[in-house]
Amino acid sequence: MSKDILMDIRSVSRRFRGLIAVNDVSFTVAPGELVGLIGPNGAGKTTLFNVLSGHLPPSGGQVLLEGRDISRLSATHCARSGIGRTFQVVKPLTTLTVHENVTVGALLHHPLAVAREKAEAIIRRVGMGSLMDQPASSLTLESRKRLELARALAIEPKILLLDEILAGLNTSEINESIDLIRSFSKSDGLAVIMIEHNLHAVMSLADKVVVLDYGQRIAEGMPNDVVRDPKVIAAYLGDDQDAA
Amino acid sequence: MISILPQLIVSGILIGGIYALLSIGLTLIFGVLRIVNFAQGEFIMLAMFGAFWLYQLWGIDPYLSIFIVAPVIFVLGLMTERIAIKPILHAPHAMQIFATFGISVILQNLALTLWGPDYRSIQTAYATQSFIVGNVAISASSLYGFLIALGMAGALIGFLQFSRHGKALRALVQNRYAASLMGIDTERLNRLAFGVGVACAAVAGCVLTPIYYTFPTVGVDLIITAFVVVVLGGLGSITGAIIGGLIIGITQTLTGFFISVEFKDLIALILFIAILLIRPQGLLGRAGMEEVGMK
Amino acid sequence: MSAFLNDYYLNIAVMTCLWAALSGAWNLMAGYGGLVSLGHAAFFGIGAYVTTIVYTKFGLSPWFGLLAAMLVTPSVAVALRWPCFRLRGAFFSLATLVFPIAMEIVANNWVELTRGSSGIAIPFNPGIENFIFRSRLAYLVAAFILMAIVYLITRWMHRGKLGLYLIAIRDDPATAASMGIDAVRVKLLVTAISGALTAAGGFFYAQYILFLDPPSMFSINVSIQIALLSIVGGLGTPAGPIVGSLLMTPVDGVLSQFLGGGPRLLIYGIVLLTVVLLAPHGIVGSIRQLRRAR
Repeated sequence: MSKDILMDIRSVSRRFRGLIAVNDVSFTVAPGELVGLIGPNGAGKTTLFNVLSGHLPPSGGQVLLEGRDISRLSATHCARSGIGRTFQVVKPLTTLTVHENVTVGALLHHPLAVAREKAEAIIRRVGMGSLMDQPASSLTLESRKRLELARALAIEPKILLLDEILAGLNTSEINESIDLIRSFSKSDGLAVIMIEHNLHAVMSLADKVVVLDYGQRIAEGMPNDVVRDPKVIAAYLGDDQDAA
Repeated sequence: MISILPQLIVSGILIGGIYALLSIGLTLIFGVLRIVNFAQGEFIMLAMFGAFWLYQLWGIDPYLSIFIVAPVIFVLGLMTERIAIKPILHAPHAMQIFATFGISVILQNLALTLWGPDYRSIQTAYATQSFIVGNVAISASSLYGFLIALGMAGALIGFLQFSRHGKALRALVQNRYAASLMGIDTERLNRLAFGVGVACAAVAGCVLTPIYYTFPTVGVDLIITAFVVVVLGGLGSITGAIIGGLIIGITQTLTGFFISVEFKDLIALILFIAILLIRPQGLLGRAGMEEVGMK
Repeated sequence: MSAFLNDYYLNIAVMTCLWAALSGAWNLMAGYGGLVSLGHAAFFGIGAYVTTIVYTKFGLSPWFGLLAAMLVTPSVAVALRWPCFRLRGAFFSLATLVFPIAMEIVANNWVELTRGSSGIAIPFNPGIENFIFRSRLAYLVAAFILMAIVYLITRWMHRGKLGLYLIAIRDDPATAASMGIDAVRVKLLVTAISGALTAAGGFFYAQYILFLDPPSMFSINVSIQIALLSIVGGLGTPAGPIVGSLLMTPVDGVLSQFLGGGPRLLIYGIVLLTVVLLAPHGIVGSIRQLRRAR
């Protein structure tokens, strides 16, 4: 392979008793690459994220980060190895302020004073400088999503897993977020996998797109190509035969 | 030595059945309300005093006093839920713990203030009777207690399985949110579950009165045992509580005889640590249930 | 007469500081970590017994005993509590109830070491090397220092790394993990600190009262009092335990003149329940909330 591989997802499966949520999924992510992960609801995208971030062990297959097998690592150790993650249902630490929330992340690699500074810098960069000392419980949804992003960035990850970070935002908020994600990805060289239903966002951000349906990878490639792939269209809209 | 074994096992089963009854109430309350009722032991204690006084003053047999004491405790449970539990159902864990713990402290010391710390016991006519089966002597009071405990457990399981309210309660245990979406009145059912849970404790208390001593802090020992049973059997599983109770009962009698009486008290605690280390979800609990948050 | 009154007030002052220190140690675990220990008396008793045994049985200075207690107690605390960490919330607390009971049984039966239920009386040999003083004022100074140490540790933790990590673990373990926090290690650390400080309190108590026996050392009353003071004063705040103790300890002193154990604890229970239902943030917490609302 001529390109470096940061994360190598090899035939990962995840089974829950009888249900196969993720079925033999493979793809790679290069450093600095932004991968869009799309597919209909229930396709197994979040489950795959849970495996990648260590919250669930895989039932089969392997996940390699910079060549190291991290498949069996716990969530804590995955984070320490450089996997950052946001959750679909944003959960800020409500008893803390915005600054404190992000500081918790920064403490992973820095002592307290430095962590506070780094946290402040990240908060300003995501555009929440004015909310620095607000209690996290008082934030709007958009701010909570930004906070979630800021907190994930604070642990200085090598790869960032964003789980529907644009869901629930209005158009202008989405555009702002797209610019933000692009800046982190391109200027910091941070690899990103984004689960997203908003195809416009995926098209404008992603270097490549992976499509899941019923737990399996049904397509992979450049955004423009994937979106025109008949298999992908069928997965989202259903076959003509089904409608008949 | 071996010949004494059946005797010990039978005694163990009998007391185990009663332990099971104590624990069923605890498990039910936890399953439905998702809180641990630290005052469960004190409701048992109140029932024991109730049975004691009914016998002492009016000569009412403890098994008959169940029909008086259990409904009273049931109503007391409903009131307690309304006043002290409902407000903290969504509070942070620490506050929930202190609320029921506070109730426990209040009840214990109320009893202490009213009735003093003395150990009391009653001597019913059949207290010294026992039935001889083979080379096993079964004490009458233990046997009656066991049968009543079994009957109560059976009634409860039947209620949960077949009655409308019972099914609603089971729905709540499995998925609170979905149940509320189906129009189940969670508030009423919470109250009902709490009442039934402490009523179970009351029945156990009445049944224990002829066998055990009655004193204000008896609840503390009993709740520890009940807790060990619940953890052993599996959180939220009533069948587990029954099996757990039997196991603890038998283990205690065996240890008490073969090792020492003091060890009998320690064995429950040792078992408890052992379960946590080996199989924290208990025998019939689902894996991870012991880590279930209380939301 | 005035000497007696002075002595009486000094005693109250000493106990206020001591309880504030003990409750503060408990507050580290419960207020910040959400690890509500209802059996902290276990550490109190172990601390007292270890120091006393080292002094009376082995003839070494109680200062060595203090050192020993501050090593032994956290080790015991960690060993006993570690399997319980996988229990969440109330089940953890229920588990903690067990330990003082077990300790009391051990203390009652291991007679060669602890003289069983007859208890140990410490001979009155005043001198700084024995940490026994003639004047109560000296004890007051020592108690105040202990309280100050606990307060300072709590402040340091309050929004420092340990405090923030504890709050993260308490509020959302999954998120905490995704930020690289090792929950078990953090919980063990705070348990060890709390255990060591509580043991120091036990050491002080032993050298002050000069008598210990299993029931008074491991009693549930100790555990209740420790918890109550922090709740009344404000759980999860550095000043909470101190405020709670300032309020409750003198009251307790007065109450115990007139009431026996049962009624006194009954009042405690009512206070506890009332605070939980009406003012769960305690005094300090409620003041903070009012300030924020302005």
